[in-house]
Amino acid sequence: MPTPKILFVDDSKAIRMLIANVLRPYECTLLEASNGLQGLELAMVELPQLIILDVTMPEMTGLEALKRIRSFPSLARTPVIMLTAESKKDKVLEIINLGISAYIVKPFTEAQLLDKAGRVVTLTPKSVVAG
Amino acid sequence: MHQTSLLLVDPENLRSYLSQQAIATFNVMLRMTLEPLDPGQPIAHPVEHLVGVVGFAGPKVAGTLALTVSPAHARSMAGSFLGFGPGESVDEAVVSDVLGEVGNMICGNLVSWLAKRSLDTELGLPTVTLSPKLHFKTASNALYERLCFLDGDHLILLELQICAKPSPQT
Repeated sequence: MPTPKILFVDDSKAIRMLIANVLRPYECTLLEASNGLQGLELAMVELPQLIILDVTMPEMTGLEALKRIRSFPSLARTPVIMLTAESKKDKVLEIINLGISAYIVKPFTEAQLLDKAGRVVTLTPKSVVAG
Repeated sequence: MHQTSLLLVDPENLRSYLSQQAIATFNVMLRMTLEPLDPGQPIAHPVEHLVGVVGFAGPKVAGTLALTVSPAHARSMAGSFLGFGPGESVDEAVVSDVLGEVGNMICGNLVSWLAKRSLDTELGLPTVTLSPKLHFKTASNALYERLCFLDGDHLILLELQICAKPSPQT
């Protein structure tokens, strides 16, 4: 089974490092971008199996990036997990209407992230593959 | 003026919510246990502060949340955030980034809390500065809250200022 490509987009280097730390023990290819525009460009080239997208970012917000992602036929059905510090009802509804797999409100635990990601892609621990 | 907008915020509820958010955020993201200090208790401030500031603004109110810690504790927070061991050092840019993110998480939940009280605002991006002074000078029409916590010997200061914005009709 091919390893899934997971793209995470967040302007915070600390959050990107945290996500990488959580996913690195699993068989997957990690791709990262620091704003919505970079993320969109990378998604169009790499066609990831999962995109983890922050909402509040410079250059292009996660919401705008999600709208653009959904406008490309090759990315229209790509599972997206939104990661945000806000949970305002109107914003959540707008994002849900664009079609997402999950919505994670910060602060979040590693277990929450793994649970949501694991529902979308198969996360096989590297030690299992090696053994 | 929209000064009546601030009447939608009960200071006691706000203080309680902010305190819960700070404690939860430090616990979940940093595995640190904050102990709230009595607001009236005198505190010894560190000589230098690292201050993470996050703004928010909407049609009726605008505000700023500032999270202040010593540089040493900011490094400790960054190490915990990334799951580093005691001997591992964290890049200074990442130390600032973690402080900004923690402030952003607390402020993001506050923005949602305000929205439930008909005070819609948009969250800004965090900034972090090294400062010899505390952050705020309060405006006369502002709601100001200041919470202090201890994590071991380290002091953590959380300040919030919310101002009513002028009404477009006036």
